Amino acid sequence: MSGCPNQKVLQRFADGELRRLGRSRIAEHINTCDLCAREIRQLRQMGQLVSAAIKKETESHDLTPLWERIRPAIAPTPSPRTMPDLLLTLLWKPAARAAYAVVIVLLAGLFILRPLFLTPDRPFLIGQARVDSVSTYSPDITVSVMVSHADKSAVVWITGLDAIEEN
Amino acid sequence: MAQHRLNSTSGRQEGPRPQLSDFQLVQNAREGDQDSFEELVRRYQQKVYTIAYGICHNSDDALDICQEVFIKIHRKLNDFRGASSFYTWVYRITANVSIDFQRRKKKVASVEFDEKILEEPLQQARNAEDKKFDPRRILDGKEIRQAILKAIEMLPEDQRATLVLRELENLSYKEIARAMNCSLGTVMSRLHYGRKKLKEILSPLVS
Repeated sequence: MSGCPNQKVLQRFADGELRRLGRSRIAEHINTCDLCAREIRQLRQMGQLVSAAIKKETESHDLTPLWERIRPAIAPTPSPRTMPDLLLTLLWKPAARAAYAVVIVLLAGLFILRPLFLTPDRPFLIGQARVDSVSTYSPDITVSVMVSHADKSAVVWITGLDAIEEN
Repeated sequence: MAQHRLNSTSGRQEGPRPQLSDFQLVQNAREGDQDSFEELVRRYQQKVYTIAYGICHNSDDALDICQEVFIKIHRKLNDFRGASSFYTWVYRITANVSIDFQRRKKKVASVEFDEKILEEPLQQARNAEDKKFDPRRILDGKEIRQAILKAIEMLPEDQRATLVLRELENLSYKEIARAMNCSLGTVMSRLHYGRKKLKEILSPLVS
């Protein structure tokens, strides 16, 4: 019918989205236009059907499990751990304990064997000469006597003097 | 201060307890009171589920969406300023999560609608003696209800979500636009085309 508002305007009227002036104009119009009145009625009824169908379908659904599904996800999380906390925690785990033990044994071994690695340069054989005696007077100073079989001469070898000078 | 907390061990009330407002429950939940959050979930789970079901049309998916919605709400509790009602905030999140969920499932336009499915239920409706429009009465028939749900499912997800928010929650265009991050014009357009399609199918059911 000519002069009828378009579908979108009718939709806005049916949804209560028109301002007062527009609303009263359409209300006036549908009093005289069966076509538009029918359109609006259909829009409203369809809305009721959609709403009622979904509500009726879902009202019997059991939502009891929902909270049980949500709860674990929102449980309070522990505050971020510091490194010492983390190490203490790991202390109780078997693999970590084994690793700690290995590290401790290695460190102890290194400590015990330290003199072997830290002893100043040792005398060594040159030709027929041999080390006759080695005396250690302090952790830093070692005196070695080296005797040559060829001419029976002796060489006294003192290491560690650098440390004394430094002191 | 969470002065009116729920019983934190059982999650059940001990004796009469004043009904807390949503805002008070939110405050308590922010401070770590899980029972207050449980109360919020129980208050809104049916509404959230109904919107989710209206958009995804699958009970398992709707339950997954509800779970995602409430977990998201819990994470964002500090963002809730109380400028709008808690439920306004809830349905916005629900609409967004539902649409995202549907997109992830890529179910768009995959539904085929067989119009024959409506023939018999519509005939029953036509034969009804009482001609007065009564949705509850029409929907007593499971076939009709299923047919209507199927018709809604046919709509593209944006149109469907807009229609669900409008018809189920009776939201204004402005509220829908805010919930779905789109313009008023888009809302009107989606409603118009969605309803047009539905009307083609459901016109025998409406006067």
